[in-house]
Amino acid sequence: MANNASGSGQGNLKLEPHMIPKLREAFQSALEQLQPLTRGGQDGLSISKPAMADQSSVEFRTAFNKVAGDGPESAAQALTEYGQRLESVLKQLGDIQHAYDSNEHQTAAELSRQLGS
Amino acid sequence: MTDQRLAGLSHQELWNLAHGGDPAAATTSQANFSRTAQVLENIAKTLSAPLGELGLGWQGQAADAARGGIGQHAQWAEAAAGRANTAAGQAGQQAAEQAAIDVGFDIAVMVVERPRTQHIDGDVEAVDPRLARANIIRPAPIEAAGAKGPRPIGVDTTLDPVKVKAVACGIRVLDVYA
Repeated sequence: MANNASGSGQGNLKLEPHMIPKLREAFQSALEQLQPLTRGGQDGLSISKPAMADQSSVEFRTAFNKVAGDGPESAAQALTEYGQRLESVLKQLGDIQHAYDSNEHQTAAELSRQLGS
Repeated sequence: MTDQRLAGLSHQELWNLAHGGDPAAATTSQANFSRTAQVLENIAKTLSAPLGELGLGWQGQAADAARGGIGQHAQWAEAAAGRANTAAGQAGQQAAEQAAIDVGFDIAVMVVERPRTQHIDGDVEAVDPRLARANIIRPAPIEAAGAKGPRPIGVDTTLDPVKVKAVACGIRVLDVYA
């Protein structure tokens, strides 16, 4: 599985405040769906033994497992990294939410101070 | 893949090759890749759902950037689901090939073990019912009743991938004599 969803550029992500809880909910759900797959690691996707003892089957298994679970470019690794990106987005959404909340708090405090003065 | 030369191997050696692995392992991988594909498809849907709302009442560069930033994760899951399905198919094909060759061996064994008194005379019903049921055997015309010498058992290779597999593995079913 290609690992091409870098998540780069999200540092400038601007969201409307009302969308943040919905997006957090969606990404949290996605992460929870993914976790059973990534917990299994490479073992679940690799072929543990060749289907037959002939050389072709042995070579197929080796080639398949490189893509499935054994290598740094493998599907298992890609799933793990995808999970990390989902976690990163969730954290970022939390930071954005916090920034909005903080800004609202500061604005409210400022308004309160102005009204009280 | 290495070009394998199976000609010259004995039936036992071929049998050992065909049965020296574990097709269930490929089946397990196939099932896990299929499940992975299904989960990734669901994730893509989960992440895509709120993207539609991002466009409601919010237009412009920031909205487009937000949609792109969030949407890439849904797109990745969707693309990965397709690749997982492909991998599942490849793993399944490995298990299926072993099963096909296994059947090929069964055919060869059944043909070899068939009693000599059970001649094929052109009647499909005379063929071993297991083979007839599998739509594998079609009796070939016998040249002459009581003819001596080896007679080929009629196995139709034109329709049956199992037979083709058996031949590819070196099992010369057509040349097994009654």
